[in-house]
Amino acid sequence: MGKLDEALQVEGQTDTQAMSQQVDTLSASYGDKWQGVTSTAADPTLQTESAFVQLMGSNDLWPVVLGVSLIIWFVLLFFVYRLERRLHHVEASARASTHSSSNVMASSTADSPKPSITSTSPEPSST
Amino acid sequence: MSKNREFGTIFKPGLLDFIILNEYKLGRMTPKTPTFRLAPWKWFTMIWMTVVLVAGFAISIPRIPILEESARNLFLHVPMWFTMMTMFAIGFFFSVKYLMNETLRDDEKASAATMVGIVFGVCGLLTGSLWARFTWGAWWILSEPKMNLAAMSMLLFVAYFLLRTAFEDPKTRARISAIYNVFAVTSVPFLLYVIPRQLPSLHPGAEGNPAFSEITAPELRYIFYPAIIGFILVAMWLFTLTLRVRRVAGSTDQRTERSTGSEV
Repeated sequence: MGKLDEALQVEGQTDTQAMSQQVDTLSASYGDKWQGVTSTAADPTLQTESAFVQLMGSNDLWPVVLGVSLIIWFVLLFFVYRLERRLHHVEASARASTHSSSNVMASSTADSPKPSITSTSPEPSST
Repeated sequence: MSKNREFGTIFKPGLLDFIILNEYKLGRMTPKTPTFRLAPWKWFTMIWMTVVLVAGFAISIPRIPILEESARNLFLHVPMWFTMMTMFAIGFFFSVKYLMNETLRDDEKASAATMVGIVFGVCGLLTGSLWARFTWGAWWILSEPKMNLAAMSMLLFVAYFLLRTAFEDPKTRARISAIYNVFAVTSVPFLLYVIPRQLPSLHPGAEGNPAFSEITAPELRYIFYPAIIGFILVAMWLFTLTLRVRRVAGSTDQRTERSTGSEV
């Protein structure tokens, strides 16, 4: 039992050493400051960054996260808007063709009775 | 490689491009189409969500231990689940309506609502996994009941779409999938809310862990509730778009068949 305890203790120590050497990616994988936005007061050798870069680097970098989120959101909106436009054109042409075909059907049924074709056009919808 | 080929590799034509091209070829699309105007509620949705997004990052929130700045994920993660439940409820409504009236339009609506619900559910899972990484230390925790049951409920709805592909006859497909959808939607509250609350869990709202109402600061609520409204509006927009694309694709196919048939 004594040997087993010693072995367990040694194993525990090596585990602790291994854990201490591991990088904590939760806190060390990113920082909350850019090197580029360090103020000239802190480091006089640095050049003053533009107001935009200083703004983006302020407040724990949340403007950067907001900027990326807005880019994704506006790209998504662009695609949805484009889809709306295209759908509008296709629906309008579908309605127009259905209307013209129903006129043709009406004129032809006036001469000779034929079985009617069920309309399959999409419902008129507000875009 | 020629310029056209390069263009073709970057911009792959989609279903709508083919439909529009076909409309031009058949001479059914004329330049006289009425002016395109986006419905006011869609403009409202765009502006509302943009404001929510900006305000969600810009407001100052209290420093909450462990959560820190990741608490802002509350404006994305939780509303996504609310939106998913709303869309599944709409799908449920149209499935029941189909079983009562047997109108195929209701089946289309149920399918479209469920599809949009799945999209928001997957986004909810992704934002939840991201949040778990920065608060619990792992992307996925196998012993966490809420995570696993949420993933399981998503699989239930993936099975709904697999089931739909198994039937050729539209009426049989609509009836069987409506019955399945009623079962799937009624099981979601048990999987997401009832069972996880009975088990020990890291997730808020479970046993031994306070729920949203007890821990949420009032500052977070100012954005949280508008975010729910905004996400539901976005989902409704996607729902109507999905329906319209399907109807246009379906009607164009039928009209093309009819016109080519009449030419022969």
